[in-house]
Amino acid sequence: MAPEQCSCTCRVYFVVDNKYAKQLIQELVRLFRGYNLIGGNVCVDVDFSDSVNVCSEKMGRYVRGAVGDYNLIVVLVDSEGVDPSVVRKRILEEHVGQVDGSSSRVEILIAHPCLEAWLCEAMGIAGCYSGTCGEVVDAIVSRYEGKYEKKALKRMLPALMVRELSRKLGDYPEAMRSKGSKDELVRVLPSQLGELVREVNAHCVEQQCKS
Amino acid sequence: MIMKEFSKLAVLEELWVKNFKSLKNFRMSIPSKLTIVVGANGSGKTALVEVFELLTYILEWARGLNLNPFLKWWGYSNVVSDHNEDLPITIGFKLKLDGIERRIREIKSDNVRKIVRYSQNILKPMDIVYEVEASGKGGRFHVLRESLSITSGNEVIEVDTARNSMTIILDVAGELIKETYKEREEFKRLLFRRLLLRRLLRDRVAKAKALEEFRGEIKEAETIIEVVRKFTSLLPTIADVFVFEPTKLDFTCEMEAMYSIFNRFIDIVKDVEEGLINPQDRVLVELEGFILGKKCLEQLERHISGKLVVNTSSPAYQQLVSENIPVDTLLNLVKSLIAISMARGVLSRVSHLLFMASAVVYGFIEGIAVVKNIDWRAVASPQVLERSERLRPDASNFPQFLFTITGGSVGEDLREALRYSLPGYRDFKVVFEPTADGRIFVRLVVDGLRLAPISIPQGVLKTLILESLLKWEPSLLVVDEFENSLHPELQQFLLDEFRSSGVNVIVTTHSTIPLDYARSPDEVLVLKLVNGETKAYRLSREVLERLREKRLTLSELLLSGLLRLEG
Repeated sequence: MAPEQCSCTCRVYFVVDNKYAKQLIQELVRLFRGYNLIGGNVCVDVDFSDSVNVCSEKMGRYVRGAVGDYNLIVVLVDSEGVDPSVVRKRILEEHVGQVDGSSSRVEILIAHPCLEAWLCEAMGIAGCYSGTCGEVVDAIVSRYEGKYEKKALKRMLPALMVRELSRKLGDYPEAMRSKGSKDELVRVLPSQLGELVREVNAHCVEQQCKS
Repeated sequence: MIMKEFSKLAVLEELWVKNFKSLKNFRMSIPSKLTIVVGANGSGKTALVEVFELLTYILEWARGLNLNPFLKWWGYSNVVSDHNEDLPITIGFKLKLDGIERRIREIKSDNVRKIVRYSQNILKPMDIVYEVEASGKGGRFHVLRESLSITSGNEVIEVDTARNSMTIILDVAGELIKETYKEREEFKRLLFRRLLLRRLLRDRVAKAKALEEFRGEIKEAETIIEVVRKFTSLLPTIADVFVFEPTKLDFTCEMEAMYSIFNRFIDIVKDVEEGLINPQDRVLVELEGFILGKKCLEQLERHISGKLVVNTSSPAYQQLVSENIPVDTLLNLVKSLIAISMARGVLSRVSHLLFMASAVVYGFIEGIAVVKNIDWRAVASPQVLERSERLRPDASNFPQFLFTITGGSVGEDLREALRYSLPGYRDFKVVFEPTADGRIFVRLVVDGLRLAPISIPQGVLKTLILESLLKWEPSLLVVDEFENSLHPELQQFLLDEFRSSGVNVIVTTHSTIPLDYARSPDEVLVLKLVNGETKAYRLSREVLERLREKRLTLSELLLSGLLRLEG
């Protein structure tokens, strides 16, 4: 495990639209801490909203409530097959846009067509972001040769993701030695997840967090 | 339990109930896979759940496994509206069958898949409507009427046990002439050899042989043989001589007395369950029997014969006339053969469709799972190790049920669900432990901590119960007072699970959590008691606008009284 020497704490708040996303991020944060991929000298504390629908008034309330207290607020939702730019626009217009100070602190991350696409990419399957969620799930299930049922895949996602990424990253600190730098390790991650890690690290620098 | 596999072909679209408790004249549409039913106490939520329970008991009754489905409620007067035992209770539902190819892939039983594949050519998108009317007057359970109808486009097939009748409306009757006659070359040849020749020659040839001196008779018979030979070669032409007028077949026939739709079906069900039906040679024979006897076939033959007319202006008729054969006599014979062939063709198709529709309805009812008033003490108690193919509504046989569906080993997929119900723990195991007297109980081991069933949090057990039911793949899962024992986050997780399972789920709740977690207004059904009668209200799409405008959540809008419900 990476050493935990925190000079200060950075707070990240996730607004999610389903329970699998929360479980996934919790597991991934635990994994990334182990590889020292997030935070470094800064300790990253992660909190979650309960699950809210994209169309729910709660989303805006949660963002509004969090904006003064957190270094970064991540709205993580599935596109559910809808064009991600449309979903992003909707979230911005209806929930995030009106919140003061949101532009610098709120990151909207849309998993397209769904979160399973991250696992799909981590498994080295091509075209994970171009098909429907059903097609992505089919590809994953067939790669596992029927070991997991399609219907159970969502709840299995956090466990499978951690398994796949651990395999890809290798053992720490050997992984760090072979890749040379944290940035190189982040490149191993599925693209959107890498983006998320970079975003967290950009917001969680010593100057911005509280000791 | 294999029959519930057939229900994977269809989804529940509508339900209606008459005279069951406060559901006096109740109707609800089911536009989404998940339905969240809300309403005040006494608005009829539990009655709605019990309707599904009653349906499963009626099926048990038809199978001889339940003497009186109303005993569960301590007698008929406790369930029939206004305690009026003279009223019958009616339950009806509509199933929609479409996307056959996609749905067939969901079927796990090879046996069922084989039968469905065999029937694939007749399975077009269709609505299947089943209705049962029952009474418990006088302390005895009676099914007063059952009806089953299949509607596909303009085609309708309807069976009603009270009238002992079957109505067939087929729009493609004209096409059926080709289907049943023209395109069955082999059948046509056989039919002519066996029937026509026999009919024409049997008497004369027999007579001639007996009386050899009547050589003239034999000569005549030989001439007829020659004519028939010629006639046979002209068959493709003859088929074009007849037209069916009108092109729509609209026919109602009397059937043998029917006790119950399922009653006739149950023998076939047993064969399906035991894998005895080989679709290649057995199903159709069974189906012919299923179609309610010879009476209907004879009536249909006569009906069709009356509608078949010779088109004398057709080129085919003109060609026949130009041949040196007794056209009218022979056309009359051919007409009766076409009528037989068509009647058989129609009934074979109709009975095949009825078989499949019955299988879907039967499977749907068999696959209904109800969870209501969980008996926690029984869930936690050791139980005799025996198979339990279905979970009782109070989950009192849960250890047996879980053992049956998991084969005694709870896999990673179910264990993973528990992670969401007990946050903070890493490692989960569910094991069946024997007691000294040979019974079993469910033990949960979390991070090495061994929890006896009595120490397992009820929310975790409820998660396990609901997840095991999803694994069982019910045709419909109905959960009363869904929120009981469940933390808000766990409620959300289970709602996510319902959605991703693809199973039709109906939950009743007093909690605002499911309401605010509805993906769309389609998922919400509001029940209200109006003049002692339960009424169902759907939320329109405009509700979304109201939510935005008022900056409220759905539960806030409903509780605020700002929303006017319209039926």
